[in-house]
Amino acid sequence: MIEVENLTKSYPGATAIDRLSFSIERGEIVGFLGPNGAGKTTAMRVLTAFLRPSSGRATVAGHDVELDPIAVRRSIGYLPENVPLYGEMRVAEFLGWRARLKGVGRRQLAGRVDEVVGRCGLGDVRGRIIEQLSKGYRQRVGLAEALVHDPPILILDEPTVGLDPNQIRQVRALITDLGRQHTILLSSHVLPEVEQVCGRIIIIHRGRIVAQDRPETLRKSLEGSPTLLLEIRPRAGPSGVPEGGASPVNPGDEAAVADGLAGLDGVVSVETKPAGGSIRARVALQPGRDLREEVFRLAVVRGWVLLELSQRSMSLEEIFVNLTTREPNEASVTEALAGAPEEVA
Amino acid sequence: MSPLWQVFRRELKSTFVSPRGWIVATAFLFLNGLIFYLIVEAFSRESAPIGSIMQVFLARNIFFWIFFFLFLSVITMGLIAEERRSGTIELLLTAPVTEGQVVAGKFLAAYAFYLLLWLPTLLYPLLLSRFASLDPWPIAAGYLYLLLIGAPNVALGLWCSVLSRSQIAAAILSFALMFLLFILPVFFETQIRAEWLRAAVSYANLWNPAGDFGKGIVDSRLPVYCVSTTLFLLFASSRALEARKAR
Repeated sequence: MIEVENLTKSYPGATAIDRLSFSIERGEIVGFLGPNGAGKTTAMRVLTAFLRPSSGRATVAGHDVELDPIAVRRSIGYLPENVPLYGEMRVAEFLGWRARLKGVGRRQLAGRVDEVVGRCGLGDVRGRIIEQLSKGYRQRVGLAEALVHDPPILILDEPTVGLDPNQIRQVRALITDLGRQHTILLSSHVLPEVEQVCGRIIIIHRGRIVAQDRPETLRKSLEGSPTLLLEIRPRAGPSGVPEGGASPVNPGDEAAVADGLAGLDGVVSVETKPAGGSIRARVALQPGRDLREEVFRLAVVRGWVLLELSQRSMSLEEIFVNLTTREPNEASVTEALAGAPEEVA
Repeated sequence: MSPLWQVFRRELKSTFVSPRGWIVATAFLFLNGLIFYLIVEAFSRESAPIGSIMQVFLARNIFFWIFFFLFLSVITMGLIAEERRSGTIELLLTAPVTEGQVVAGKFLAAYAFYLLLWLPTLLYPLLLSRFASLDPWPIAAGYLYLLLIGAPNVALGLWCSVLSRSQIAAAILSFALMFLLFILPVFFETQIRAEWLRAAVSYANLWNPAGDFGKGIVDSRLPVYCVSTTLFLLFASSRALEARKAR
C-alpha cells in the first residue's frame, strides 16, 4: 500500500529525512518510532502529499505523491500531530464538512458521520463546539475526521500524545480494531505503544532508518547479547572500617575488578563506577553467553563480596534508547545488530 | 459538490460565526452611515456640490478609499495566514483539494462578504428616493464600480495572506500595496511622457473611472482591468501556496 524509495526531504541547512526506504503491505499496522525531531512528522507529511520530497519516490495506494497528490490524499485518512481543528465548528458539523470535502456522497453522508461518531465515542459531544472540548475529545474528533471517508490507509501522527492513561488505552484499542480493515502507519516516541499495537516497527533517528522489524524479532536479535549487572565490594568484610561508614573505594581496586571481569572468556566490554563502598559494573557479553557462574567463582578466588549479580537481555526500550542516543562512533549496539536479519543503516 | 464550494461555504460561515465578521460589518456600516449623513448634509446646503451623490462619495475625497482599503485588508488578512498559524492548513491541504480550489474558494468567500457589506447600504438611495427625485443610473453604475474594484483588491489581500505568517503582517502588507497601487497611477499618470506607458498606467487608475461611473458612464476598460488583475493575482496566490510544499 505504501512504497517509499530513497525518500529525502531537506530544508536549507538541515536534512529532515535522509534516504528512507520501506514498504507497507495491505493490512499491516506499522509504527514509526523515534525521538522528537527524528523526521517522523516530515516523512508523514511527504506521504500525505503535504510536502514535496527533495528526492526519492513515494507511492501511496499506487499513486505517486508528487504526480497525483489528490488521488493520494483521497486514499488516506490523516491525523496530524497536535490535531489542528476548526475551533468554531461543532463536532458533527465539522465531520460532515470534512466528509463532503473528501467527496463522500450526499446519500452516505449522514451514515458515515454517525458511524465515526459512534466508533470514536463522540456521541455525547456531537453538538458541542470543538474549541470547548477537552484534549481527549479533540484527539478523537481528529481520529473520526481521518476515518470519515473510509480510506484504505490511515496515517496517524502521535495519536495518543497528551492523553491520560485511560484514554490512551481506548485509543490503542480503537487502532487495533481499525487495523482489521485499514492499513495503518502511526508514529510515536512511546515504545510500549508501538510494541503493543504494531506488527512492525521502523526505528528512525536523525532522518534515517536505524532498524526495522517485528517487535519480537527486534528483541530476539538483541537478546543474544545479554548484560551482566554487578555490585561488588572488593574486600571481604568491613575490616577496620567503623560500622555504617563505608570506606571509599580504592581506585586500584576498581581497576582490579574491571580487569578481572574483562579477563573472563565471553566478555565484550566492562564499565565500572564506584558507588559508596562498592563498585557497580555493567558487563556486556557475547551473544548467547551466561557468565554468572564464572563471575561467582572469580569473586570467590579474588575475595570479592558479591552484593548483586543479575543477567538480563536488553528490553526493547533499551534497544530504542541505544539506537537513538548513540553517537556515530559508539558502535556497541550496531555490532549486536549486525547479526539481525533486517537491514541496519 | 465540489471541494471549491466546500471551502467557500466553510469560510463564509466561519466569518459569520466568529465575532470578527460582525465587528467588521458593524464598523463598516457605522462609517458608511456617517459618510452618507455628511453627503446628504452637504447636498442640503445652499452651496451644494455639483454632480451626483455617487461622484461625491467615490471621487471627491480620499476618505472613502482609506476606508475601503482598511476594510479589505481586514476582511482578507486571515484567509490563509490564520490557517497557517493555527495549523489547520495541514488539515485543508491533506484533503483531496488542490491549491487552486482553496484559493478560489477563499477568494469567493471574502468577495461575497465584501458584497454583503455593501448590501444594506442600498437602503440609503431607497431612503433618499422618498424625499428627492434620484437618477437611478449613476447609482447603479456606482454600485457596479464598487463590485468591480472589490475583486482585484480582495485578490491582492488574499495573495498577501498567502505570503504572510501572521494576520497582522498580511493586513499591513495588503493595506500598503493596495494604497500604493491606487495612489501611484493617480499621481504619476500625467507625468509619464511615453504614450504607450501612460496608456497602460491609465488602466490601473481607479480614480478616474470612479468619477465616470459616479456620473453613470460605464467604461468597459475597468471590467477588463479588474477581471484580468483578479485572475492574475489568484493564479499568483495559488502558485505561492503550492510553493509552500517545497519548503
